[in-house]
Amino acid sequence: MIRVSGLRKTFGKVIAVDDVSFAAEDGAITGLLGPNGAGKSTTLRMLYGLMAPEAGEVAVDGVDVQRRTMAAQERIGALPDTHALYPRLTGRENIRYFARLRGIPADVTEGRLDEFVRLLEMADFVDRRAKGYSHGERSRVLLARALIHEPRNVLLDEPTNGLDVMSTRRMRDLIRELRSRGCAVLFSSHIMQEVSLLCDHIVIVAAGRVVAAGSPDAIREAAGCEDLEDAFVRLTGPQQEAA
Amino acid sequence: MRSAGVVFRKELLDGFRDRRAFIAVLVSISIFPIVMLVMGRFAEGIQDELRNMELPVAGQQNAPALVEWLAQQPGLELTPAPEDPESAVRNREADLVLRIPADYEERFAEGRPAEVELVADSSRTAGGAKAGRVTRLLESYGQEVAALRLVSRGISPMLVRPLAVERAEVFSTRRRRAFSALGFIPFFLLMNAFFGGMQIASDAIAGERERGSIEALLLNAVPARFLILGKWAAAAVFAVFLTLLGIGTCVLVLRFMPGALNISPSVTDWFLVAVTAIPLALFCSAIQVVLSTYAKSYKEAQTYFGYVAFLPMIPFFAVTFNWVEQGTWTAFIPILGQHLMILNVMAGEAVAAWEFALAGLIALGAAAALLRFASGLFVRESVVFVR
Repeated sequence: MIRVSGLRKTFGKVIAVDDVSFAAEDGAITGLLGPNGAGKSTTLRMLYGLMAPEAGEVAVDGVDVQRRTMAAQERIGALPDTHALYPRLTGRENIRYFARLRGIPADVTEGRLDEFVRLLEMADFVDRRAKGYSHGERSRVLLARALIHEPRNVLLDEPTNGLDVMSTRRMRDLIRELRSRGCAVLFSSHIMQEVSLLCDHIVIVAAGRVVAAGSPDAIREAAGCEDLEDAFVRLTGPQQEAA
Repeated sequence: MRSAGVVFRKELLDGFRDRRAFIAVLVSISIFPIVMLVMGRFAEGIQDELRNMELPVAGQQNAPALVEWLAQQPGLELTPAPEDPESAVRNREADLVLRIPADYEERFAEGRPAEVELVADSSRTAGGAKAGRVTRLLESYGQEVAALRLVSRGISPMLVRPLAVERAEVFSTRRRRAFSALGFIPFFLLMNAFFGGMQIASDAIAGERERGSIEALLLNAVPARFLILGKWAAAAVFAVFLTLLGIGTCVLVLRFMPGALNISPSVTDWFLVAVTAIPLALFCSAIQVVLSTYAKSYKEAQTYFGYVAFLPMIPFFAVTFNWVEQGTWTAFIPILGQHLMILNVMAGEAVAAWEFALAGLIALGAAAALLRFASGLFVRESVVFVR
């Protein structure tokens, strides 16, 4: 599980993240929802230890990310928003590279690889060089690569961005599968429907601040709207205009 | 450390699949033989031309004795001069023309210096060299005539030669050759050491930033120093490989193009050259790692390499134009030290064991410091996220 308290990050005069607190529980899907530029990626980057917060703390399974970055990263599997593979390596080699970096024994890696190839239907392209991959193919390899060490905490930055319907469905199935295995899944999105469909818990951020948090029902209630999308617009709207 | 090995193997594989890296290999092993071939041919051509040259002479009828003497000189063939010697030389129809004025005989008979004119263009190598040979011939003719004139007046020619200057050269022939023509060998080898790892370093580090793959790479609970170490090792392997290939090319060039340099270092010499060049290749790869970490893209990295490309040239010019005297201190300066050591080994001079050790240790120490610096840089937010 991931606990975030009082996170703050500024770039020059721009306050990107301001006093953000929330938790992503084990066995639950938490959605970080917000318009573009709300500070979702910046928040995630502080969660997996690549950016240092100016204030606040992040604990992954109780491990402080700032002080024990490596130990925290061992508990995290993350998909950053830069969807980049090594173009001269095959999909399989891309995944294997990260597995080796994490020190997973080769036979274990191969077993998991075969499972991912089956689960994400990658057999057609996984042994081709990544250079010619379609967006959907790339995102499946990226996902397998981020999960190859079977992390207990999964951070996904806009995982369905730009994917077609079939790929999006596959992604959703996988996210639910992770929940059923007891993982804490945190994913960011700017698409209301996606979040309402998947999430047990929603954290809405706008202009770097948490404007609402809770179950989809609780959020509808708090905003006084029947429709979750209306609630989203009402909650994030003013800040967006101000920004 | 284990993860550094993983990075190393991945970057090597990536590098082998990168066509640009192989083009770099081809270019670097072919430049030296081509330069030597062209230079050798050029030098031989000039020698040949000097040995068997034509000399157009205008006004041959004005100095029959001189013309006859010249005609007897081996490898010199007198030909009729063109109408206008100046424009002929200027238009490259002739390399040079000797002009004997009409008053030659008159002045010669009166014992006044008889003028002859050599029309030449010293901006042309062949013209300059030929003019030099003809000038020396004319001077020795003049000395012969002077001696005869003195003898005919009962004076020993020795009286007008109060000094006899002899030069005892301590600079051995091999050493002189080494420092002139062989200056190219350390230059070429150091260029290989310097640029061998360039492709890998820029692709594995700046390219990683450019593609954005750095973010995912840094999530794997691997300390940055191991990532940098692995990437550097891959670049260094290429640099060392290219340096050794370069040495191999030099061996072949010296063996099969004997006319070019006329020097044959022993196996031990070549081994010492390798011992000198390899630590430098490791050091140069570390420089590229630092520059690549600064660069936001592959192209930007290549631009930075362009800025430092003059580094291996400094020792070359410094030594060729005698800006520096070799001393103990030179062994402390990376690149310059190695350049001089390779030259000395080539020239058959003894280089002390401590010099090899010292220069090697300094290069390795500097490499370690640079890598440490690059490791800190690699995880800076401005490096990871600014693209």
